[in-house]
Amino acid sequence: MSITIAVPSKGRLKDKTLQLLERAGLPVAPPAERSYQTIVDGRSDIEIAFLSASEIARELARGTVQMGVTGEDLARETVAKPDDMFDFPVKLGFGGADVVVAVPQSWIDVSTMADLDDVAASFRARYGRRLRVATKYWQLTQTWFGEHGIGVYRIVESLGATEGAPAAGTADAIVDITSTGSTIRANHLKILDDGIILRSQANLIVSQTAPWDRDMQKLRDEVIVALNQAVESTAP
Amino acid sequence: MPDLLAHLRKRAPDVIDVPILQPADPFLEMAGEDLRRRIFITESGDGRLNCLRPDFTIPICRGVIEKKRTGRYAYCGTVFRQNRDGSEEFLQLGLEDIGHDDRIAADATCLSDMLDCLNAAGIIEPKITLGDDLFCALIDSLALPETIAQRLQRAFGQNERLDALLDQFSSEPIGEPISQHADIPALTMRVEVMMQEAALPPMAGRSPADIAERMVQKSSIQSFRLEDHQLRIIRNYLAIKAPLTEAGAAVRAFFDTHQLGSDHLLAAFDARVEAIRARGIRLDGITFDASFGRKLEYYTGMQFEVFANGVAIGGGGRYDSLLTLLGSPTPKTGVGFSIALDRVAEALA
Repeated sequence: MSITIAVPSKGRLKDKTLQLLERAGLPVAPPAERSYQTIVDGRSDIEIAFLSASEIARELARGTVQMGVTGEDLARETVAKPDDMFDFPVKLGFGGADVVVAVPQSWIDVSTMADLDDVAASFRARYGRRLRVATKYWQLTQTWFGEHGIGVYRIVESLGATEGAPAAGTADAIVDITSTGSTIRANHLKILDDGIILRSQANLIVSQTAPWDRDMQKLRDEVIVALNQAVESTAP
Repeated sequence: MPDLLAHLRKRAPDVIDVPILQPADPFLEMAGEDLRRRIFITESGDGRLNCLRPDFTIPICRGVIEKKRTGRYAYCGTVFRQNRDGSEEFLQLGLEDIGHDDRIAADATCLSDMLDCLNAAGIIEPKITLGDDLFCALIDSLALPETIAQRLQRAFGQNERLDALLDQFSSEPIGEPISQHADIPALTMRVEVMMQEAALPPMAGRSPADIAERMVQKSSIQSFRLEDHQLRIIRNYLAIKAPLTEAGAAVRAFFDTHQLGSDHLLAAFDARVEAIRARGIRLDGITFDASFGRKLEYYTGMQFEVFANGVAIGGGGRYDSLLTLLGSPTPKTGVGFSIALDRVAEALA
């Protein structure tokens, strides 16, 4: 009996995750060359699968892996009802970034979602088209705008350089991820006062759709406890 | 079940073909991004978005505009939508009456056509909830700042949201005070400079003058608070619920007591009640609910929902803004109903 933990396959997120697992007493054995599969050293009951961060969210939703490390933003973006599919037992203290709503700084009259609602409502009558929001976060945007009563706007899919969309004339506002806000400011945009959709960071995520037997639940609890302790011992 | 479409076609002979595969854009444009999660979208090879038809109203209206042919259109077919209860396709029967300029007569005919159809299906005395956009007139007559009035009007029909707004507007000032001179030309210039610095394409979006104007408007409502008597009027109006036999008098008494004017709208309300009565419809089966409305911007005037044995089996209403929004060069009226035939079967079971 074993469980699989999906770990980001590259970059800072991968390095930080491996360091944390090591500190938690779950060091990951180096995979064979060109392989993306391995185990926790000496623990054939805890397998490790290296996947891209967005695939991790998808596989957790499908239940093909039991646990995984990825950004909360990706997990909440991948499915319509994330809280029905995932548990978020451990915030890992790295990979922090906010998903935010930002508008041009020249919109001096817009500082809140309520302002944006006013603007969106009259947009078509004034300019002959709907307000356009560039984002790769469809789900998060739809949910957030819906909660603020904004229904009439259009999403323009943007898979990169989203903050450039207003200057490029392809969108009026954006929903994007930012850690310091500097890219947003550099592009003459500003974050709305109540425009923080999600304060995201890397999370240990547990799939609720994967089948869990008693032994797997034990392994799950062991991993959660170990990671929690490792995070707490490194917290400032 | 009898052939209800044939039955309806006797009253509504006009036909527009509505293919199952529809361009998605008109639906998303009219109903907003929220709809995207509930419809079935597919992308064609050249990048166009299509969807399985989520309703008939919008395609029929588009057909009317394209063929320049108003009329009375009956339809019956499967529509595809992901509902909260998990169902994804259901059989819908309905009628759209487009370009009928006597709105009162058309409203009454719409109700009687629906009831006739339900009778033929075996539903004898359904319960109808009926709403009207008199709420918008009531808000207008309170002479609130435009921004506040529009926020309330947009929330009509979404009772939780409207409640939250009323709480917000009556508890504290709306936002931090802003020290801005009401100097639109100066603000406009400031915005122009900011837009140039940001290299925003000048014609692509909001204009500097609009931004400046709204800034001044916003500054003027920062210290706004709904007064107690205004809040009471709004809440008490929304609480009005009466059988249609008494609704006209109740609404008129309310408007008179609070000196809210709107005589022509109240007269139209009464005339519609009379027209409904004249078609032999039992008024005590219809309940006027002042808070009942639909949130989409294209609905105007009368809206209704119909129930049998506690099951919601259909609804409809007036959508005079829809044809213009869809690109009709001249305004055209529209009113219609739809019946969920699966729900009718459920109610009869």
